[in-house]
Amino acid sequence: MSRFYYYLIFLNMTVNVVAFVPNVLLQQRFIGAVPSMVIALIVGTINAAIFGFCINRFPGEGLPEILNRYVKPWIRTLFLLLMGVTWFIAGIITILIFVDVSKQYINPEMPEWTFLFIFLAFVVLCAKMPSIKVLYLLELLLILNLPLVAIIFLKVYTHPYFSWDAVKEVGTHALTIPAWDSFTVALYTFAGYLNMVIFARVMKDQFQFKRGWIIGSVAFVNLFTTFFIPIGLLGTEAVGHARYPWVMTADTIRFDLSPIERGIGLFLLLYVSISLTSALIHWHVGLELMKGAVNVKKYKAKAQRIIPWMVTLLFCGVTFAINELLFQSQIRSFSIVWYTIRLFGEFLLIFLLGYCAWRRGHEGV
Amino acid sequence: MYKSNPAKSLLPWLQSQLAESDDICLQKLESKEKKAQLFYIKSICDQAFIQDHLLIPFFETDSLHDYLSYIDNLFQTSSYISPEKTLNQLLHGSVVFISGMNIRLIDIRKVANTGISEAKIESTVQGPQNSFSEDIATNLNMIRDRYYQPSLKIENQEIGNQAPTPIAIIYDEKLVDPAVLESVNKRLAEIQGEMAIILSIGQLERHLSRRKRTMFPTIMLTERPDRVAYNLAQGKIAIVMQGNPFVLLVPSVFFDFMASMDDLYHTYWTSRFVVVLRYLGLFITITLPSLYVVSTAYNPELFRVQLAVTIAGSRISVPYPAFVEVFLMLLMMEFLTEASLRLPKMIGSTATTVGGLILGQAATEAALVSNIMVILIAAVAISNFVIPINAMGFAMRGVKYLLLFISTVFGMIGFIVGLVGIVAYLVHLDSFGQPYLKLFMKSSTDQEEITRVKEEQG
Amino acid sequence: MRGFKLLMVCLFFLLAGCGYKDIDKRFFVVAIGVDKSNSDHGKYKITFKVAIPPDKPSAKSNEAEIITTDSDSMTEAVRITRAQLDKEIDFSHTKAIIFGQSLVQKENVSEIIDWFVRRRDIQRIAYTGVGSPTALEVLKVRPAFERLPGNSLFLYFGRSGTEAPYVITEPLFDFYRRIKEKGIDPVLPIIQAEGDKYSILSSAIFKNYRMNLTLNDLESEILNSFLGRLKKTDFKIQANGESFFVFADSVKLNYDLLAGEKPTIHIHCKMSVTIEESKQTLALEKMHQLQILTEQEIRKNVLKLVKKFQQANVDPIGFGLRYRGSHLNNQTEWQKWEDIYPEIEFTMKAEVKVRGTGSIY
Repeated sequence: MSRFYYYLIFLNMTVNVVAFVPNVLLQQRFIGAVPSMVIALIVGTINAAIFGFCINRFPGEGLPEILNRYVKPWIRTLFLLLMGVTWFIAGIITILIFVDVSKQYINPEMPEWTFLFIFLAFVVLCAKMPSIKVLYLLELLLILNLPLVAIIFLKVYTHPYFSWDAVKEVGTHALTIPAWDSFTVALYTFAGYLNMVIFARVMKDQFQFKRGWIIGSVAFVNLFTTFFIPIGLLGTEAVGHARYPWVMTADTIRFDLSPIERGIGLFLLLYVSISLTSALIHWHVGLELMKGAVNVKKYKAKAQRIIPWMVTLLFCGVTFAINELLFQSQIRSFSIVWYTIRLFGEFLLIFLLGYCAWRRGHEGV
Repeated sequence: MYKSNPAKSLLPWLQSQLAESDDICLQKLESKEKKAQLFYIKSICDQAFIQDHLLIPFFETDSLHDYLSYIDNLFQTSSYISPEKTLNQLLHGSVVFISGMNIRLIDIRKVANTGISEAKIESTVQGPQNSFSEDIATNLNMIRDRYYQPSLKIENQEIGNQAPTPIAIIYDEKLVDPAVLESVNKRLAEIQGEMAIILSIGQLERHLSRRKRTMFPTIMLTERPDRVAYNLAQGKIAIVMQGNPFVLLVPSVFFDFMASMDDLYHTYWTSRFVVVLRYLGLFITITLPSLYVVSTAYNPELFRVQLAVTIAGSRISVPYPAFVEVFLMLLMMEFLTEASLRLPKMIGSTATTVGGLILGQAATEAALVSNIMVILIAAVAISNFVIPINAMGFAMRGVKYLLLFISTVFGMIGFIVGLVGIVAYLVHLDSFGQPYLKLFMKSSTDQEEITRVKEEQG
Repeated sequence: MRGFKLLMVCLFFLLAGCGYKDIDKRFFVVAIGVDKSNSDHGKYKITFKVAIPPDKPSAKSNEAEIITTDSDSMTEAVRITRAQLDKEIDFSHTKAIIFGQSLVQKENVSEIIDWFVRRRDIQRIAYTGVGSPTALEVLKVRPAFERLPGNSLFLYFGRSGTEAPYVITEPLFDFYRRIKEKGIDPVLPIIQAEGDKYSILSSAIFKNYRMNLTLNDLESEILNSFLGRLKKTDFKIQANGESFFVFADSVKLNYDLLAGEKPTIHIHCKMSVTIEESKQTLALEKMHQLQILTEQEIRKNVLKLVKKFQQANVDPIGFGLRYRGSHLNNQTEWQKWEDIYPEIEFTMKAEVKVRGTGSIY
């Protein structure tokens, strides 16, 4: 499909560098993370390809429209509602991590609700934009951030204190039994393509299988960097002590000649804008799925305006509540549970979409 | 008013409609058996034309019939339709010629301000130097003269329901987006119904854009004929208005406001370099004040230690917080900019000297502001003028206060969210159905169009 | 409605803005020293070097306030220090962490380091070192050519200033990694305070969280090239009555772990040198001989150093980590390595390319 398809995948991979993905993987670095990542790499690429194959059958249509034609209304409503909630929670997890990292590393004296407020204000206002505008914004922000990604990438791979021996040591743990948590989080880094359930509406071109290798290779580089760079810089033991291994890794970068000396400054800059974009995309897709579930077009113009507000404000409330009720460690466990639930959601979604594509194939013949 | 003979009643009716003004002239002519009356407003009519082409022939022709056929053959002449129409034409510079039963209207409008002056606002180094005049006919001439295309279409209209002003809508029929054209026409019709009088094209611009309160310009105002020609070639619509040396271009997107015509006239790498400079300038002018506040008051670890200690030292005797310092100095800078805009050119340079040099120097000496602050403000002010279109420059002047406010309150996070928010707002805007900010907007056709315009200008 | 909105905005302005603290209301701690305390107030004597900003940017000022407190922990020390200063104490520019020699010789360094890696505001790229005779003495040094407090020390360690080959630069994150890691031991430079100057020539190797071994300048230099941090250096070659100095502009010191019956570490060195100084005139024919002399000298010194490590049972180069990384028996490999290391053999091959004799023969 068009370039936006790759942007969506790329965004999800980049944002997970900060989130719990490296944390979970690195906690299990000696007990199964490496083989889990290999499996996730294969499964993720195949999933993306199957999904692309199915959605190709419905040019210019999103999931709500497709389900509308091929499944019973109650299944459709229920499924879309559940999917919508899943997407909203994806955004919420990004937001909660953002609040935690901001309070930890950017501005420790500011109360958490101010971070939540400003972040939610942005996400809520932008999530209601038309899908195509959201994609334009995504493209712009990614391209603006590309130099930062490139600099950090270059800096960590050419770091004078980088230890390949440490990387190899963890690499020798490849023959362990795969760990479930590592598998779910590693698979989640691929999940960017799932946003196509809504954005397929505005993309004209078809997904090309020839370019499938791009997804696989980018995912490989991403997983390798996410997992092995902190090991090489922080050490095989010390890396397990880090709550946000990548923030720590970024703090090992020194720019000798720039006015900003610490790499962590650039990294946090990158991270804030990327997680803003990611949360925005997730909430936008969640909102559109919800709108599809309640069939918003049936309502009056005024109701059509109010429903998005109600849905987003409801989830703002949920975000505040989760942030108040759960501790940092509980938020981590909460997201690990969610990664598993999401995994089944992903397979269910691909199955349903495959069913619809099959039905359509029969009709067409 | 008699239907059979409008000639008799017309003159008294016109006189009753017009206020008793000294420049209203009723001239009675008599020669041999011919009798006629000329009625016109002296101040907007070409007196020499009356003398040479109306009076002298009147006394030289033998009969009224000969004279009338002479007048009918003048291309400015039109025939009588209705008293209201006549009054309108009279006000636009026509002579009403009445002789017996015959009424003729001769357009001899004299426009004082047809002079073409050099472009002052959007000056270029290597491009064409002239700008539009205040006369619609001259402007149309200038546009036609730069865009030789058979498909160029000019539609004359009038706007304002009380005192209509002539406008012309210009576009390339082959290239224009019909949807945009339709929405422009619809909008113009709405304005026609709402507005009594429209005096300036800026006013028209404000009413054309649908949003009542907006920060960023979505319609371009230009004084350069070459920019109009270039934009016509891109399928845009130009609106010219009588009495205004500016032309409106719709739809206009963000990148149009960041482009200077010089970009087309310089060599490739030179113009790329200048474009990069411009975006750098834009970035500096909106972020520098907020970055200063954020990095001195919230996150001093951003700098290297040497810089941090120096800034701390220079701020030590400043009696108020950094954001007040920035705000005060920015305000002073805005006053200076505004003052030098309004002042006559001779005094303008005095203002900048007094303000910039003396004030800046004295303020640091008196330790009211830190000397790093003065450098920063100067950088902000200068880089703001790098933006080529003033409308965008003015908008960005405002934006930096918004960003300053949000960064003062929320620190680093506020700064980044604010910056991303501004980008999001720009993306969300529309200009007549065209997305306002979007990457890769004109990829393949761009270069072709540029070469086409260049060829046509010879 | 409008009034309500306005009220909200005002409220916001009041509530937010927490953490706003101007840069001139902060005291920057540029260096922290930790010594062993002799008093009964606490275990540690903790010293903060606080930069005093210059009034004019152009003025020469390396004035600093040295604040010393005795306490059992870093947190307490910060609390006591805060009471002595009128501005907020800020650690975001702490670029040097110095441990006193007596402290690292006797106390477990991993206890005190916890505070440094746990705090968010301490840079992980701060330089660490051992202060001799004490950390306090090192912090007190104010070189005459220094423009900002502590800057001289930062220039020593940062590669943008001097590139002295025997200065081992050890950032906090690397020190912490080596403390935690199995198979690579921490190494810190020893900073000697001499009046108003520093002298950084030797370095200290840690074992079991304590300082164990001291290296002289030549040994530090070789270790530096082993760690891949040395690009340029010079050596003194003295053999067969000849004595000359070589300048090496590219040094590659590497090693291979050879498993098998008798585990061996094979070290190979590639170097390209020019002659820097010589007591005799150097004939062109003697070039080959010079090369062999240099190779022998380097071989001798390197082998001497690794054997010294082996005898002291320390491993700052990371042979152990290399061993772990190349063996799949993850449960038992570490035990096995500990058995092997004392008996392991070293072989060495040095390849020196003499590029020239400088401007004269």
